Amino acid sequence: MTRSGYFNDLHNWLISEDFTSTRQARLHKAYVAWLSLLANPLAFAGFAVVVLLILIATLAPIITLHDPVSQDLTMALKAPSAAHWFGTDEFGRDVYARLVYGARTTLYISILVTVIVAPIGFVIGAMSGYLSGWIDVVLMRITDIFLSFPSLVLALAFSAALGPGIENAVIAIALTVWPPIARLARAETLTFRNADFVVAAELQGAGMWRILLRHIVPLCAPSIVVRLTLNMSSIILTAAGLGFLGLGAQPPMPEWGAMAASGRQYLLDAWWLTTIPGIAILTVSLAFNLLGDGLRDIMDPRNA
Amino acid sequence: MFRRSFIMLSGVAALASTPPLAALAATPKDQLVVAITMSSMRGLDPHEINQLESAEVVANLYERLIVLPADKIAEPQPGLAESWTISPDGKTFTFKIRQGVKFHSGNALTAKDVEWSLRRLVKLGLAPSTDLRQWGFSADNVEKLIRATDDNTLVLETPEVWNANLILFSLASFSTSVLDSKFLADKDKGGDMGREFLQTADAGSGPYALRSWRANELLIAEAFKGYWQGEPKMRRVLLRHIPESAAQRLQIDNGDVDVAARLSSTDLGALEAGGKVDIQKTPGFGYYYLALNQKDEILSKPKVREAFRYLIDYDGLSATVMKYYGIKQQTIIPPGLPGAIDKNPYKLDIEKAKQLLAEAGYPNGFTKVYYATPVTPEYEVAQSLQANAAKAGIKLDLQGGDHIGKFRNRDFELFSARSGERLPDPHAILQSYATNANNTDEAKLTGLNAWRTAWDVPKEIQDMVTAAAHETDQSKRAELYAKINEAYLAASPALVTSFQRTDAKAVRKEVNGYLGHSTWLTRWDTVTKAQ
Amino acid sequence: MSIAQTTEHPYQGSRKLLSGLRKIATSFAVILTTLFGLLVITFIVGRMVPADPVIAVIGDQADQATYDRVFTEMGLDRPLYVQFGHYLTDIAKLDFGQSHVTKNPVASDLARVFPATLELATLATLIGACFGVPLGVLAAVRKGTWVDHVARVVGLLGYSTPIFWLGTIVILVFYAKFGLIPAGGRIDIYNEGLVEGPTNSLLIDSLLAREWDVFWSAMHHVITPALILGYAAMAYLSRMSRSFMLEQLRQEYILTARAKGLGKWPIIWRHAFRNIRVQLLTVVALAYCGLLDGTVLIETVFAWPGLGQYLTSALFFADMNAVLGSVLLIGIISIAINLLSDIVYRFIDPRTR
Repeated sequence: MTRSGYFNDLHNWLISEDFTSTRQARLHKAYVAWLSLLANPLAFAGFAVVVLLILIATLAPIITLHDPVSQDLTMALKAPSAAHWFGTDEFGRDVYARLVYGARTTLYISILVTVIVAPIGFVIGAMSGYLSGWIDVVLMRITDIFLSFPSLVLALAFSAALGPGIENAVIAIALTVWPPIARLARAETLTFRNADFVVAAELQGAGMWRILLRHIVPLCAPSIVVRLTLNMSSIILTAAGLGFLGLGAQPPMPEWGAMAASGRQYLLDAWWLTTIPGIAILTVSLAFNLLGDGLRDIMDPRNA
Repeated sequence: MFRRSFIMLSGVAALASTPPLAALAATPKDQLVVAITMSSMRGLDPHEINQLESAEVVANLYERLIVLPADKIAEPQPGLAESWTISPDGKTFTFKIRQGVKFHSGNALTAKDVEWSLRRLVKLGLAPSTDLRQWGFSADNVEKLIRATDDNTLVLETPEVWNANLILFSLASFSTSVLDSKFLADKDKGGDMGREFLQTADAGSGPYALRSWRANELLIAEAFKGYWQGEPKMRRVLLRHIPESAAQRLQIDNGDVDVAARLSSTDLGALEAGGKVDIQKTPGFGYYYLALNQKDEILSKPKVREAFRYLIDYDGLSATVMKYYGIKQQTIIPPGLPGAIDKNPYKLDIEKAKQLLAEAGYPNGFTKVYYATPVTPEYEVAQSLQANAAKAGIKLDLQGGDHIGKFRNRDFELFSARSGERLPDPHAILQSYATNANNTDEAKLTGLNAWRTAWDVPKEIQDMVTAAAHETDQSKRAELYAKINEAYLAASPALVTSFQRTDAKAVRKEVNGYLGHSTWLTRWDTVTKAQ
Repeated sequence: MSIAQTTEHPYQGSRKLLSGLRKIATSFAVILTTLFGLLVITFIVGRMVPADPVIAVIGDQADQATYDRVFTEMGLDRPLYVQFGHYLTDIAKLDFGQSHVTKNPVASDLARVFPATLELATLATLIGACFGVPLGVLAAVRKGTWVDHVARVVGLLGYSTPIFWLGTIVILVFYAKFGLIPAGGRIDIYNEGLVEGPTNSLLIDSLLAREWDVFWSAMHHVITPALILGYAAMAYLSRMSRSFMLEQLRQEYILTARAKGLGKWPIIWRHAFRNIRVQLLTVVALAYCGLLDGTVLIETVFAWPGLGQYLTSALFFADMNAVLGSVLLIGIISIAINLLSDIVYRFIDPRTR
């Protein structure tokens, strides 16, 4: 069998709607989503940049020549050159290396926030929607209180209160990101709350947690995933904003927002210090937005 | 000029007929515009503030008995006191108060106002009251020891004999400013002696009167027409809050401001090269220091303390971030003061530091938390130390933030900051860096850096410091300070000093008479502008 | 009450009134609990700030006696719940306390800095709405064409740009290189102090006083940060109006109108747009809230003496009263805007009546 023939068969198997197994059905869904992603150039571009970001973060030691933290004051504030592609900063550190390692910080923050927020937001929202009554009222009231602050102000206040540091920034950002997720999870849960399969499961004696995990989670997942992807960009921007105000990552850890902020001291003589990390933030957050936007189109065709 | 250029943009004015931007961009000839950072200003009560920017304002709103000229900082000159005599036992100072001086309110200034003001400083007991209280004045004895015998005579008795200069320098400090006691009589709120009122108002006799102050935005002072030395040339002085160094640089380069007081080293360097401004580096009486908490088992080892002295990149920093902010200085008495010696035996030497650490029993280094304030250049100095320490095996977990409270409570491992004293005398520095009468936690001598660091300063150093302050003979005193200086350097102190603080300001070339002052008393009334 | 309801049975009418009253009472209770939550959070944040508030007042070198005195003066020696109690009673009396940094009552500080922020945010919202809404509508009508793609990229770019960075670059290029815009602040230094009063919004005050120089100077200073913030608002508004418009264009009546032979644009403006007005109003209100966020960073970049800068510096200097006051103000404004848009929604949108 030729290679292309094999791929053709695979394609046909994936595209076919005559499922012979649940595995095929799942793979089919993913494959169709993948095809629509390919068909949407903007979303695909976003996807490509995100993959690139992950690659860069993983391969950081291989694709850089300089150490991101080692200082050499005699080399301070040198303009971009063959040796230092993006120049050097006020301590003579290689900006390219710091940018590459900074990708790790960015990913670390955004993934950690997402991992914290997704289950919390889901549990609060789903419990609220499933149980209704006073628990719903209390949980939604708490959510509303958090929602009533503009998110950056809240993140700023919390991270100032917790003190600087990357873990504290993660907590502060997480505190501002969960409420919309909870709202979304509640709304989704409400639409399924009285569906036949939920009632049937209840009659079979399934507990709340089992129902939420087995039945509600899979149904809510797509919209929550879209929401989380779109959130990535605002997480990155908030983290950068906190870094800009000196509240995020602490030295010598490279972080794009902090790099852009400390470069502002030297703005007029070393434009690259602020410009380059800023472009990196912009690119990555745009990529997540394009990807999230594309995913929404795929999963929720009404808006396309 | 911005308005003009805006109209130009809108196409109303013809480009050709508009003068070039630079010609438009000039501050008015009779006004002085200063770019500063106001974020640490805390009110304008001379007996409460404790900070450089506020001090410069207060220095011009009020006057003091003694004047220390910017260029002859250790030579007391007559101010509100026309002349003075000192009793043979060195304890009684009699001041003849100048006549014909008017407050901004129109009231005449008398010895009664001086008496009231100095007593107020001591009684309020706030931060700057140290300037008098360290000589033994207290709320209980001040009524007896400071008194106006008539309208023109003020008598001040010290409980102990001190070197006369220390007392005279204190009476030149912004904290001993003379307030208008009659004017303030009805401003009292619950016995606060006008404290609430004076936060945002003035009651002085200085060359300038406060017109308005919007915190973190703008302060406007207007020339006082009735000033006894004649009305100042600059009709208005405007202090504008411009937190960004780059913005300050652009604006002084453009002529939007006349003086810029908070610039980074690179911006200062570029301005100096640009030729439109002069850079003033005013040495201050303080240091960039690193405090090693002596309650910590590792950091209290003398060899470890010594090792840190080899981890500071004195020369690298001097050439870059510290170029305008400090002068390499490893001894404890700044140049120009009695006892100063030119000796800087330490340099960056990672190998030597490693060797010392090994001798101390830590060949593989250790990990410590390091607190520093995230402002330039302190944070750059901290990050440089962090990088060098890492090479020697010491992992410093640098945490930027306002940690001074933890430093005061001995609740830290490493801490670095910069200090600034207000008396041009070695005692001002040594008092804080080299005396610690009681090193227990309960003593709470929180005003002293040595206590905060939990450093039990060698007794012979402490004794010499006390003796020198009481010594009235100037040459003996200088000898004593030279000895202290050597002993301090040899003690591998827990307070590692690396740079003497200098305050750098950029002043446009057409501005004359704006002289940076080492004890924060820069005058505005001497300023003139060339055409 | 609408005309339709007068035909109802009187008994039903009074029941409606009763349920309406209950609704108002409920939403009042909701606001109160939200406000209380807001107070609790701000109080906790204010007390958690790691900087020592006493030292922020007395400075580094003060001795212990001074420290202890000020500590007591500030009421920090009392237990937390007592402090919270005092705080609540003070707030109830509309007394926000005194700022340790500015030494003014927080209320008067807020009265000074808030109009500056309001001025900036309002102008930015106007800019955002004027450009964003037409762009969104156009993108919806020309869905799938290059216009739509351009609008999408422009919108997503606005979502993705770190505005503090954009502000910095704009200053670098347009002030430093070309000298076209001011570097920051609200007004030229020589126009300082010419206009003082009644609203603390320089644009309005100078208009009222007919001080044209001041007005132009203020306008020239506000326009750059407003454009940058306005861009962020435009991105959001264009995306929302596109999606609202798409929904309308799918409706049957559009097809019917087309079938009747009405022109394309008249249908869009007269029918479809009319129907999304209310939704748009809501999102404009939300955008306005969101801009309160944006001002925090942009005010730092442009040295704009507004609420954002006030809050940031208060946080850094542990100025608790100022932190509490400004966070509370921001929270209350958010709640008020949301409530207002809710009410407007109920009034204008026939479906919710």
